[in-house]
Amino acid sequence: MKKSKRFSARNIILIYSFMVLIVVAISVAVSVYYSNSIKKRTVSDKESYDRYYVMIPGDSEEDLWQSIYKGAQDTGKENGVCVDLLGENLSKNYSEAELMEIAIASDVDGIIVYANESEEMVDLINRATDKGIPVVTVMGDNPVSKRCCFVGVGSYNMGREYGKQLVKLAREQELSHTTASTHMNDKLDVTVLVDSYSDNSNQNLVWSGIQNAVETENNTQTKINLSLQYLDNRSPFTVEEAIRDMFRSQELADVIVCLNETDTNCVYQSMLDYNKAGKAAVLGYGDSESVLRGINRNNIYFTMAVDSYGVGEDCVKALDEFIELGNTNQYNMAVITPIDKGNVEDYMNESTEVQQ
Amino acid sequence: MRSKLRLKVVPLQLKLSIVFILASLIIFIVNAMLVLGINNLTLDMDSVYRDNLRLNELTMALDNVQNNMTEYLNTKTTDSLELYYKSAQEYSYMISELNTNISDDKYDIMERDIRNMSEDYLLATQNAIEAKRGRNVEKYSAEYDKAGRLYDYINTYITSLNNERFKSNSENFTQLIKEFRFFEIVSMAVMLGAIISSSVFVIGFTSSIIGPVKKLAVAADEVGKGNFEIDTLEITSRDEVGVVTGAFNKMVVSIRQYIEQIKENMEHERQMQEKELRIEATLKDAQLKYLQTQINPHFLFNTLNAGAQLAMMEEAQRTYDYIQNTAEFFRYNVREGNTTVLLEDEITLIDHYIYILNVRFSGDIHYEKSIETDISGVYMPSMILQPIVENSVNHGIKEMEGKGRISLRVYHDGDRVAVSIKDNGIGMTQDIIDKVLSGKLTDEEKPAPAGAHGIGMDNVIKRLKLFTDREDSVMIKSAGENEGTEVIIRLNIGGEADV
Repeated sequence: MKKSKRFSARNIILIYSFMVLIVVAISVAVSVYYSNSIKKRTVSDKESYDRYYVMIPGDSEEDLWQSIYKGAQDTGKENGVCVDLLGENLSKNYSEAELMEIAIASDVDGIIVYANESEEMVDLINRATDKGIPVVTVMGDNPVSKRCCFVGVGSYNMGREYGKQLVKLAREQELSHTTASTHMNDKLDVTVLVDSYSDNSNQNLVWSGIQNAVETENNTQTKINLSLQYLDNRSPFTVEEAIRDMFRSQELADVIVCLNETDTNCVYQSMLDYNKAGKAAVLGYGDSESVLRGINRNNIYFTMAVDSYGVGEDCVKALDEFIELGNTNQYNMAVITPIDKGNVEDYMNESTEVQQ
Repeated sequence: MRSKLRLKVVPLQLKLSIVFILASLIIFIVNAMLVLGINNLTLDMDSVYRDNLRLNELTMALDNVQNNMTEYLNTKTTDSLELYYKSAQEYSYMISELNTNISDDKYDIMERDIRNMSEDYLLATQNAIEAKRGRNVEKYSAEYDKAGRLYDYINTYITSLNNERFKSNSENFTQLIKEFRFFEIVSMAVMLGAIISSSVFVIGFTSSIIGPVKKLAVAADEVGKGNFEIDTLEITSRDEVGVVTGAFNKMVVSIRQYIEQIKENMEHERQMQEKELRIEATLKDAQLKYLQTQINPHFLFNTLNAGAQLAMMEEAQRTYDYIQNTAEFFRYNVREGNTTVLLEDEITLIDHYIYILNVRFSGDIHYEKSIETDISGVYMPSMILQPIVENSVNHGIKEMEGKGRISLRVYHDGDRVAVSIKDNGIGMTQDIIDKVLSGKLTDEEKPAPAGAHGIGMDNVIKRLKLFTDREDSVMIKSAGENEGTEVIIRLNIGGEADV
């Protein structure tokens, strides 16, 4: 009895000590946890880079540019380069020229710009190059300037591709009209949508490509009438309004050719809204999800997918090469994939896979 | 075990102090941790909007530079020039604090851009100022334009950065507030835990200290109520409580012993008082009987004295002696008080008595006295020897034929003094002796009426036994019929003090 009592007294002391330890341990753990969590939050893992390139896109919201930027960014990361989409975080919207000025003043290591062929742009590119900042033009070129490289689509070839598709459409129309045997009078009205204000020769090159392809390759009885539809692009949203006006007021052409993604989407949407699906064949541009869906539903006849991710990659590679070797390819053509009903399924799967 | 022992010897004050300090320490540590955590959080909260403040200051500095430059270009005053240099200096210092690293943090990159643009901007303003001083109108307006554009870009950058930072800081702040709330709950829980555990600790520890005190209090209360039959308390520690408990245990044992002793003493005293009362009672009884049988002894004594003087005058020596002895005998009997007398006096009384008897019975009694030991200071009750001798004479000698003999012998018997009164009379049977000694002799068995003074043997024996406190203080020996009787009494030396 006496012995057990003494043991219990000692146990009590042990239990007290244990409790004290537990309480202290808990409080230490809590405070350590908190200081750690705070540190983790405040000091995030920042990766340092050797070089800093900026990209000045045409319309940063467009899937095309997002994709190009992604390609550039990923490639940059691999090579120790930070690629930033200039103007993205700014509260004000600056023009490409202003952004160029900012980039030059910011002393970046390289500029990837959606250039036009204006004097101002030439001047800016030259100023940057003189300051030791190599400039790569992307999608839109400025060949007179001192830019080190152009990465983008060969517009003339793109035009020829559209032309070939028009010929194909004409043939299909002919085949569907065989029984009527009125081939002589067959014609295909084609409207090509172009920006009314452009400092770029791209549109002209595409237009030439289309004309050339239609002239040389059209071996059908059908006459293909090409026309240009200028869309007012002086301020935001006017393009969309112009397209809607077109659907509202005019007789639609048999084929509408869109040279950029925004136009394609607008045309597609207007067609659905004005219940004109199937009335006109749409040759689109870009491989955004909505465009692919349009093809899948037979609302868009054909689109051209630029390997935009590859374009981004090439831009960064060109800049790297120029900085390291002092020289690089003057032109770097992007891969263009034609997409129609025949291969859209693969493409859609592919893109979902890529997304995954 | 050793530590336990050590803990046992720790004084109470130190123990209580340890308990208090430990309990406080727990709460202090927990508090300190919580305060540390809260401090961290507060610091973090502080730092959340510090960037915004810094950027606002940067904007103001930039505005100053721009305004002062414009002012100078407008007015060309030295004041504005001075102000321009000052503000440019300040702005230059502020941008030197900005980040220069390239990282994937977009804010860092924006800071870097702001810094680089600001350098360009400052250069442009400087060029504009210098061109103005050199009156190069074309150049200064070009540089002014450039500076203006850059100013616009930088401002936009700073504003955007500020906005972005503010957005993310607000998110951080919301997160921080959430954490703070959670931390509050956690800290309340931890504090509660600490308080509970330290309370348990204090209660447990103090109860281990107070426990023995409580037991002690209960035991003391019991003792206070008069119950000394309690178990000794267990001593669990060697602190002050332990010492007090030990002392208490000893005290209880001692008190118990003292009470036992006092009880014994009281019992003894009570017995003594009872004895004395009984002695007194029997003496009173003897005296009463004596007085009943006697005429006024003073009158007799005075009468006898007168007779003795008369005999003296008539020159009758023997008569005088006789009357004188008789007077002495009565004087002894009428003396006041003293129930205890010296043995010598009692023997002297026997001398007188024998003389009187010898005169009365014409010298028939042969009396021998032999005192073999020092009897001074030996006390005994009065009126003891005389009744014995009277008994010897009345029952031993009177009824026999021939010359009676009485011998009185006083001798040392061990630690006592023995007085032997022996006659050569008719003797006694053992049966009678036993009855006499135990005082069970019936009236019929008594051979004759009580002696002259009426004091019987039973009275004598009782008083002696009471006085000496011993059963064997009286002994009667007789060899048988006509073989004489010997009465031996044994007295304690210096026995008077007891009575």
